[in-house]
Amino acid sequence: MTPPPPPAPPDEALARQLPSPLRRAGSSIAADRTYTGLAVGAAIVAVAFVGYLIWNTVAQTGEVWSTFGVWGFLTGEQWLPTPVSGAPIFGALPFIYGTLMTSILALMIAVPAAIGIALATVVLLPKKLGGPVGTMINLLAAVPSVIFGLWGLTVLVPFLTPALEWLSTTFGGLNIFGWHPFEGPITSGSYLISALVLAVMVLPIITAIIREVLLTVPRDQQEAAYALGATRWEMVRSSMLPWARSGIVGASALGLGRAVGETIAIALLLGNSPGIFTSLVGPGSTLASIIALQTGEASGLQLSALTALAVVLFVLAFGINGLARLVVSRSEGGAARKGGLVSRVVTEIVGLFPRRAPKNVQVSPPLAAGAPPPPPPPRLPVTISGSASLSRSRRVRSRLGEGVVWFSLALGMVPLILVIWEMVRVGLPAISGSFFTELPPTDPSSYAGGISNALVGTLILMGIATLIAAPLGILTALFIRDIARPGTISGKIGSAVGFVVDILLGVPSIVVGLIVYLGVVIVVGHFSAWAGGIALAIIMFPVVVRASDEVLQLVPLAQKEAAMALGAPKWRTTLAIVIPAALPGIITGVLLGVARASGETAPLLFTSLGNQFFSTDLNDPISAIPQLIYQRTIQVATPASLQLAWGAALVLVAIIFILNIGGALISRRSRTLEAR
Amino acid sequence: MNRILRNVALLSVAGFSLVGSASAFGKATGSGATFPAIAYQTWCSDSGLCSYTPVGSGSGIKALAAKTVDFGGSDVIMTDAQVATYGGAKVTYIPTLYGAISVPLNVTGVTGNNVKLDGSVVGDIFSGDITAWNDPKIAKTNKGIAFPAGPITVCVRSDASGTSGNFSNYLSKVSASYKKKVSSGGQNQTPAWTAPLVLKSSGNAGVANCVKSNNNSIGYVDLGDAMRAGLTIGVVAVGQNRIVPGKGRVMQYVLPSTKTIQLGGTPTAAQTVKIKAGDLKIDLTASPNSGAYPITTTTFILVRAGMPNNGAVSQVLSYFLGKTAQSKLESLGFVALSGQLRTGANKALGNLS
Repeated sequence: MTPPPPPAPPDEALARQLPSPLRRAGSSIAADRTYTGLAVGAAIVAVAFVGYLIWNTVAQTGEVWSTFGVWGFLTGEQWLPTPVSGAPIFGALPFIYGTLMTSILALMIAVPAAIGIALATVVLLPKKLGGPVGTMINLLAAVPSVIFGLWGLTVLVPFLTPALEWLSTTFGGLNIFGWHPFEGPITSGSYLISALVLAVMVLPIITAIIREVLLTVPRDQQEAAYALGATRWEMVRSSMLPWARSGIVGASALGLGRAVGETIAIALLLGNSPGIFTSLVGPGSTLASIIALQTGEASGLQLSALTALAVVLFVLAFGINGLARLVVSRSEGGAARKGGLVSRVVTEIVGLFPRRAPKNVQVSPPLAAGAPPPPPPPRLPVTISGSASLSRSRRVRSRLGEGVVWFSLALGMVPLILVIWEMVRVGLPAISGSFFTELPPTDPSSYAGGISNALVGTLILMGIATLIAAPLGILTALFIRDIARPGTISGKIGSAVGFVVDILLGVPSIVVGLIVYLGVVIVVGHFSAWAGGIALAIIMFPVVVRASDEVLQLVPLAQKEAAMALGAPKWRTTLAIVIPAALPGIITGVLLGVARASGETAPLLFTSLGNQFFSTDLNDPISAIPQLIYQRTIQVATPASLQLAWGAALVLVAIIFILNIGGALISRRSRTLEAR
Repeated sequence: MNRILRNVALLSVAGFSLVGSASAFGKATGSGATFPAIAYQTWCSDSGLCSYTPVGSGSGIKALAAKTVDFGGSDVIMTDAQVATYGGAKVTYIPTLYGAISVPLNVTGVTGNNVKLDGSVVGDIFSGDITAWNDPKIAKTNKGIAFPAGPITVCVRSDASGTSGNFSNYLSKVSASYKKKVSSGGQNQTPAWTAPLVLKSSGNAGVANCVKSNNNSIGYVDLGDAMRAGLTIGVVAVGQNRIVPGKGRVMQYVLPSTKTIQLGGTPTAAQTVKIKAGDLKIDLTASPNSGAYPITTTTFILVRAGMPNNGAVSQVLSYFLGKTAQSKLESLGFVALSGQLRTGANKALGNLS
């Protein structure tokens, strides 16, 4: 992803040698130093604070390693805080298993669907439709986890229970080396339903990346396939999919990295019963969900063990993300080697053709299998002969292929439509003027009341997070892109900071919650809005840095050089040239960061805690919308509570969509301005 | 730069402009047990004297140790390790209400509250000694109900819970198998469930939901939450072996109700002595009183000596123990304190100030 290093900007030393009228006096140099100091300071403060939190977290795990040993803990199969006799026992294996099992099952569902959706929007749908459909799928990514959990629990579980029953009666006897994957009885918490919901949640990110990759397939290549007489499906199979192969692998790995950290939906849907090689229609537990469910009340060795689980989860997510990045960057490298790819694709088209040359296909040269690939055909206006002339098997296969693609598109759209439908059906009746001004009712069977405390709480938490993350994030981005110079110490620090930011991007949000709990809540002694805001800021920070960094890269070097050539000091160049040019992108980045953080539940569970009352005191626990939804879903699941939860979900999704759309509009407007 | 600052500021100030107006509620703050939360929150709202955050008994004990709240709520007595975190400060336990842990089940063919299970059988189910509904031990006390052969899904709490603590305390008294395999006794908040098919959910309502959505399941839920979740069918009449005057030793099967909980809340002779001596930490489960619901419990407010806001806490408590507050309990699924325990609680309150 790293762009070629820009040519070194004119040295300040050089600027200082300029004739005096062109450079401002000493004050400018002082201002330059201030600017540099600010940016460096921001980067260092951010990294140091995160470093402190991580160090503090890792330090907590000492007790576990010394009690059970690293290997003993990782392979321990028991999790007993109060066993019937003897000392507490903690082992991570069932949670590692549950995390991997749910995530891998989710990918097995999501990846084929994502490929189908990406193909449908890029190839099958007309351009005018493909874009909006792609955007709709992206919107799925903005729906918070807790809402999928709520939906899964109240809609999907009852709906799919008969299907699971059928599965377990039909395939219950299946035995894979002693593992009975579909053995009954079925329970309301199950791997299969968790995986299904997880699949819906990771679908957008996987689809988005595959779409991007497919859009880069050169037209030549597609036309070449058509020119050789390929049907649309054959073109897809022969020239698009091979091109996108490593992109698909990378996208899947990124999806996996996302899936392993998923917390709230899984805590609601998996049954929280740790086990290894248990039935897929029965319950399990994951690293993230056990951390979410037990941290608030744990202390001593149990807290230490939960922290160790968080470290395991972090390492898992980090490893998977690293791998994904490697594959994606390889695939980009591969895409650059166009020649090789084209010839490979042509070979594969040839392989597609039946051995006997089909009749009436005008363009296909009679080729024996294994014959050397023909040179790329010249670009000629080609009329593909009517489908009647295609062999039956090719026609059927093409139809079938396209059918599968259409089907997966429909399948991908269904959850989105269903979630929104449920939100409107159940949630809309809850919404009235008083919904925004009243407190949630104490009596869970009451339909009165609203979410005023949670709404204000969310705004306050977002305010704190933005106040911390936006300035630090933007300054850090400026440091990485504008100040750090490759080849110098600052360059090394810059890439180190960039590395930390990339790591932060992949940290599961529940882990962020835990490290803030350990490093802030326990240290200060109480839950507070501050702690929640800090946790959300840590989630926002890398988003803001990366988004700002990307637009800062786009500021034309010539403009900067022009300013400097006119004798403007660095700070003035940044202020007058770089920031105005990058501002829309930066604001978009901040808005996206706010949107991402505002739907988070997991990091708030043991930081801002929640509050039944209206509170604006930053030192007190505070309510937030996602958390209100979680509590109403899990702890007071009455019809009235669920209506309140869906109503709150509707408000939350509206806020997030507005932020996302606002961000998109700002960046689009600036792009059209640039184009003019 | 001005523009960017303004934009950033706008985003943030949206949140901050609201800061500064003081909270309208609460003089005393408390946190802790979720079991009595709805009662405490209702009373706090009604009186305007307090706020209460349900975070679980363990967290309430932790919060009071850290002095971040004015009072704690707990269903359980502190362990020695927890007592140590108070650095020798005296903690007074004041009971506030009676409650019950109901045992609801969801089994094909059960359409009313007509299932009778011995306490020991309930214990055997939760320990995994009994794994199917057609077990002879279940059939023995339920002639006339055709139980299916299906395996039993056991719904329990995923969080450390006072409800689990009291339930476990009861089962370890009545089931040898439970005592041997799951918890050796006392208010174990995280019992090591050994039943083969266990589902864990957060909070009482989570367990209620679990029972509702799983066929052939059983769970334990505090009565108020069970009522609110609509779990009114399949509530087990729990059997307790008692000596009844005139009848000798009999097995009594009792459903939770205001009356049976009141009987369960009546202290025994030994407990009365304890209460009179000022110790209110009594264990109501497995009551020998005839007609009493065996899993009757109470819950406590913990007051730490020497806290600056203890005046407000006394005020809160005298409201909680007063007639207005106590008379609201029944509609919330609890029962008002009565007799000796109420006298004891009021006396302890008097000693606070």
